[in-house]
Amino acid sequence: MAGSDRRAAVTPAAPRRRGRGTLALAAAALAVANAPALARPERVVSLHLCADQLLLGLADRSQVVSLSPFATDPLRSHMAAAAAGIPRSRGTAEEVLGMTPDLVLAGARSARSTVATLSRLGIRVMDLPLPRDFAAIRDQIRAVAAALGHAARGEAMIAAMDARLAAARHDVPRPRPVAFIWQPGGFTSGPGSLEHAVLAAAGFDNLAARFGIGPFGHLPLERLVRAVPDLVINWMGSEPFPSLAREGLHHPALLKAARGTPVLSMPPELWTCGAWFTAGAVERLAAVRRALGKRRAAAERGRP
Amino acid sequence: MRGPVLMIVLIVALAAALALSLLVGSVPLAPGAVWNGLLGGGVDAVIVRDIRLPRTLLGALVGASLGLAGAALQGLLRNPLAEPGIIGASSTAALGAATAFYFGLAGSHPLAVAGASMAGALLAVALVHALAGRDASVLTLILAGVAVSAFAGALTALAINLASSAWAALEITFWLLGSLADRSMQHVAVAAPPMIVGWALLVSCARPLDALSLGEETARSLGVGLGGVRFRLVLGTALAVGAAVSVSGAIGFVGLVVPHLLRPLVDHRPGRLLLPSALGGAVLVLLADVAVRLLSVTVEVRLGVITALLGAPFFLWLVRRTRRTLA
Amino acid sequence: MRLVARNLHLAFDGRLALDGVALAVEPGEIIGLLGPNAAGKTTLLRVLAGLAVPDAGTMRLDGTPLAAVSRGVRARRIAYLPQNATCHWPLAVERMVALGRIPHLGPLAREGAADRAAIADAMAACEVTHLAGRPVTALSGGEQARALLARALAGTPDLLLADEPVSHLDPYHRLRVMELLRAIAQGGGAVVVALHDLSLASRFCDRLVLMDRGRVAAEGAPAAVLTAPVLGRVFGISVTLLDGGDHPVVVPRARLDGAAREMPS
Repeated sequence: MAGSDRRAAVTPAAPRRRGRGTLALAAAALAVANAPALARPERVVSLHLCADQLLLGLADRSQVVSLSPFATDPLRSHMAAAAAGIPRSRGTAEEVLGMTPDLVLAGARSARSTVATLSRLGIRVMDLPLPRDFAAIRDQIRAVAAALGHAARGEAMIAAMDARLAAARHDVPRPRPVAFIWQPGGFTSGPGSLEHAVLAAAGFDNLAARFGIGPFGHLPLERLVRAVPDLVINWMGSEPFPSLAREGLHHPALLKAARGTPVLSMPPELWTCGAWFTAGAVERLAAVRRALGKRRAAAERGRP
Repeated sequence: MRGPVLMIVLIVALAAALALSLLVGSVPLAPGAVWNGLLGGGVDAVIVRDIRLPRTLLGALVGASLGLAGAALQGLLRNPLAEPGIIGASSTAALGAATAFYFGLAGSHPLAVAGASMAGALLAVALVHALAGRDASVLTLILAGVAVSAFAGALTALAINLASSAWAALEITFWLLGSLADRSMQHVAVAAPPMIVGWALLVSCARPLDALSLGEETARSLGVGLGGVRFRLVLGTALAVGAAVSVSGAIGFVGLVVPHLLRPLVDHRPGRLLLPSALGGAVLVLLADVAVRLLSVTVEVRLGVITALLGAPFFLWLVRRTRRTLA
Repeated sequence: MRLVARNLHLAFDGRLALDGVALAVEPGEIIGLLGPNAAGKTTLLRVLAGLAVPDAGTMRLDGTPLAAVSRGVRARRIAYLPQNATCHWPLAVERMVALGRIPHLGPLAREGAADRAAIADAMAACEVTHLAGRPVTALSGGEQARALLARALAGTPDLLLADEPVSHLDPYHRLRVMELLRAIAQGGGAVVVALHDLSLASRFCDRLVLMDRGRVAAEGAPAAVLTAPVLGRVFGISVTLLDGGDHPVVVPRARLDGAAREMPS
């Protein structure tokens, strides 16, 4: 579609004797207007799960040539359904070259050597670091949308996300309730991480912040048991396979100390990648916050 | 040193190590609060009873199993360099446990993981005894153990990769480097019974091990049934070490260092070395685990790393000394 | 106690280690077991000690088949001192000698007064009492041999089976150990000892059994067994026989070539 537009702009209409010069000028002007605004890429390859999401969410399906291996994993890929039917590759330089892309989207953990090789061979590679807050998410959406030639879609996506975020934070109580993000091994996400930004947007304080933990750190079980939060978020969602990781959340000490504390299982696909749908994580948390608030209010009313 | 004196010293050391292990943790607790917590009262009862107590008990149980098995193996193979880690029993036990755990067998029975771990240990001990059993050289013994260890370690990593746990890297280090972090009383309940049976089997070999000092032929002429002794010893090692590894991952060198240090104190008698080695092993692992808690500021320093940092230099010193006597 | 073995056969590695061997041991006598290497001396001792099971033949201990005697009873009555006996750990001599009491101790029992007395007597008889606290591995060859013998005696056995207990000892200690063995026999025990030293065997043993390729080539008093034709046939050497009083002294002279050796009967 994009290509035919371009051709239409360049090919002049059937020349008429009187207006030939004007039409030619108009055609030239149109050509000039379109050409420098990087012609919409027709063959885009994504090497990374997070790039998959933006690509599927912003581009036309015909622009997408290949996705990362995890694109169809419903546990981790929000756009898994949309990814069905699109080829996936392991993303080696050889494979990518064979697809003759005009744009490659790579993620923070894509192999640096692959990215370097592709760049060296003259392919346009766009590196997408993991956004750590919603401002970064907006910037990234804009950048990718522009690169894909769909700036308007990017703005619409951002506007929708902002509306959801606004709805989530309109009734944040003081003091804010405290949440703890539980990762396997007792690790957690503190200030500087995307998860922290999500908590803040939903109206929660992060327990990790109280212990001075950075974007990623370890909170010993003893400390967690002592400082019981209002909500525990199971960061890994409901991973189907057995692992030591799961055992930690069922530790008797935690179960005893946090007996009344709800545990929210956050589907990883909402916040593994920071994108417009991360607002869904915020919405879930906000809903839990409201439910907790109601429960607390009811309990207080019940007291004489 | 007279027997009873040594035992008393070791028991006192064990009591001190147990107390120290209960007192150290990421939340500073006064001794009074710890005592209170043990009895079930106070805000910190959960910390003391459900976090520190199981960790302490497991440290003692695992250490006792490794020390006892090490002393027994050294007596059977008549070689001061034998121990469950060196002969590959810890690694094969970890392989068994990891395979059972990651391929879904853990759910079928609470003892499934421990059972697979024991089977792994049994395989290694039996294999190395078959390869190096009859008065084989030190070199054969160590090489057999190295081969078994390396192979088992590689298969363990492969098993976890194939099981596609997202936390594969983290969990491989648990099985291969050992840890007692965040264990619960459930782990104690699963591991303790097989360990205790294993201990009983090993201790029953005390007198035969003494007789074996004179060689297999003389021991048999003294009425010792070697086949029965070997069976009890191999099975006892498999049970004790297997159960230990299933809850703590592979921890090495305890069974090497402790019997070696205590042997002169029991006048080199293999039978007399068994119980002191169990106590000594418990003390060593408890102290190493306290060190783990004190040193782990940002990331957990693995228990197996601490024992290796202690044990590897000791082992090198032993090899030098053995070489000098062999030369 | 009488030990009577008849018609023992044992095949090993494709050849007959024992081929119809018979032996009778009476209390109060020392029997010397002689023969070239691989004649079957060690195998015979192991079979008598119960460490190897013969393919055919009978052994009776005081009339009871040896197979029917329990391992514990056999260990109490028969002591075995293997070739190149060692102790793998540097135990104190007294502790090592005490290991000889194991057949007499119950599973959980500690050593009693009787045990301590037996240990002390054994050490005194072997003259190692003064070495009681020293590690076995730090002793000289002669001292070790006596200490290991004391271990065998500590079990107060009725029969002692010793496999070349003096081969690596100097002449002084050879005599000393053989004197100890004779004292055991004079005390009522029985001894079967494998030896290489023909003159030593001749002097100290009451009876000699000369083995050759799994068979008993000759048996009887030293003077009857140690004759030039027999020794030439079995060992392939020519000898000079001297008179040692009540026993012959054997001096090997030269090796015999194939023609001069008589074919075994």
